[in-house]
Amino acid sequence: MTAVREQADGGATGAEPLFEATGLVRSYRLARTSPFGPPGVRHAVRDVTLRLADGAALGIVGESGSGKSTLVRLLLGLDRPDAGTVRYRGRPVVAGRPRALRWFRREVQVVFQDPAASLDPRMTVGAAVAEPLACLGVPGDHDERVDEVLRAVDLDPDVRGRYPHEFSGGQRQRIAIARALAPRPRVLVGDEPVSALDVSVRAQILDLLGQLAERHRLGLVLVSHDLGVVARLCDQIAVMRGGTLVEQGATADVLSRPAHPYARALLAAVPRLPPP
Amino acid sequence: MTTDAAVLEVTDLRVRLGGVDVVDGVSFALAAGERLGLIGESGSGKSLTALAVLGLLPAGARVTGSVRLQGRELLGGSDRELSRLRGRDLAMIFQEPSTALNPLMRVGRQISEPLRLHRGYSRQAAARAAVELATAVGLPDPQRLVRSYPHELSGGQRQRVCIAAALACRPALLLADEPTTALDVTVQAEILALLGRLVAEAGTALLFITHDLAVVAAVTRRLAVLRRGRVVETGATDDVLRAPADPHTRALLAAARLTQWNLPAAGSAAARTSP
Repeated sequence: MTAVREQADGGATGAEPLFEATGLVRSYRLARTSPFGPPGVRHAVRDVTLRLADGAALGIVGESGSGKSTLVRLLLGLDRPDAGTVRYRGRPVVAGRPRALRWFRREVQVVFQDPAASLDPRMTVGAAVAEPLACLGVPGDHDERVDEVLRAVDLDPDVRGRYPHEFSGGQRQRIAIARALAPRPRVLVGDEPVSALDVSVRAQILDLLGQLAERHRLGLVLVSHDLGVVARLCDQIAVMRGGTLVEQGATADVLSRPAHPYARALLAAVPRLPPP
Repeated sequence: MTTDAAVLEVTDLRVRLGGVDVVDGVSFALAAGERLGLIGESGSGKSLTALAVLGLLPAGARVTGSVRLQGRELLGGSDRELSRLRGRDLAMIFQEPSTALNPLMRVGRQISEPLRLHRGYSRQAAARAAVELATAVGLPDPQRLVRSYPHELSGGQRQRVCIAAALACRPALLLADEPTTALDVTVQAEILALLGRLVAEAGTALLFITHDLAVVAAVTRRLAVLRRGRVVETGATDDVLRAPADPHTRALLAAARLTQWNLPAAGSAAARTSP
């Protein structure tokens, strides 16, 4: 299955990592509860270190409030950490002017949870998919590339002239994936990319992501509250709770021998189907 | 109860909305204390079926067929008749506990409201009952918690409040529409266990609506699969999930298994097993 792709070694030795986050810390100030006391602080991410090898698939699992979305924002250079660094192929990723991160955006693209919200309703599918090509100054024939990526996500290139509302949720997520693929990234980040979809559609989209990752040797960072979703596509799993990674390791190990009590509780809580 | 053994009997229920039969001839029955799962994807008509039972369909919906609660026809009943039943003989919990609760009312009052409305509890008796009910649904520090407002609680705690209010009058029937879908998976496990225990204690029949086959397996013994407003398969939960007869059910199940295939088996608590 897709989850057991050749292990590109997410660990310490060997190839240089694609992504390397070291000692990430990010806290937010909370609203003041008393006019005299100091405002509270939420430590959304505290001391997170992780790495992603080229072509590897890393799943980050956590429940609401665990800090996974903040971590994703930091990894994508959408937010600045209070401490720590994010490096992509050795180069620091620092949130700032959009232009300064253009090189990074070409390499790392993202798919969000709700395609209805992430696609501009007034933009045709063709324009939406072509937008990153123009913004990032990708060379080549953009029209042709749009057709190519639409076909890659099993959509007919003829849909280019249509608008997002004309599509089902699953099709819209395909469009969002096509848009992410357009600039030929090396890493695809999915922030709960299937949570808003029906079960049967969810399976199709997961399979599509798995195929695309394999075919284009894409690195995957998949963030989800659903352990099953992550386990299906990722060879490495990181379990997040209270802003820290409480457990990290190869998917098979984490699933069969979870070391941290929270990882065990999380695994035990997933409702199971009876065996066929 | 009358001659009729069924707590709820739905016969040939049709709901027409905007010229479409969104529920298209649905029939099922629930015996006292029984738990039935109503399964289907979005748009299958499962929530509208529940709303039809409650008499809460959106304006403009045309409904025909029959819905009998303890032998009594609910369809065509007046709003007054229905509101006498709701909260007393049949109750409901929804997916989003934060919108189901009144943000301006202390949770204790919301828990005991059905008792004041239907059982004539005094203010003091209701306040005492609220603490007892809050305790029964496992809310922490119930004495203090009943005085708080919904926004001060977590999602799981809010759903516990909804469950307490729904079961306050020990209704014959509880409808639960995706009651754990908005919750974290560890909280979901707690809420499902709680719900199972409480309906068993109260002898309440449960109609559990969800898109999640694994969740329905944890809660119900029997299920009905809905597709495009029709029941395409019914049977014992275990049988249907082990050997589904209908191709649509098979497809749903195959899709659900895709994200389960490499999880260790239930109960093994992640002991051994590998994919």
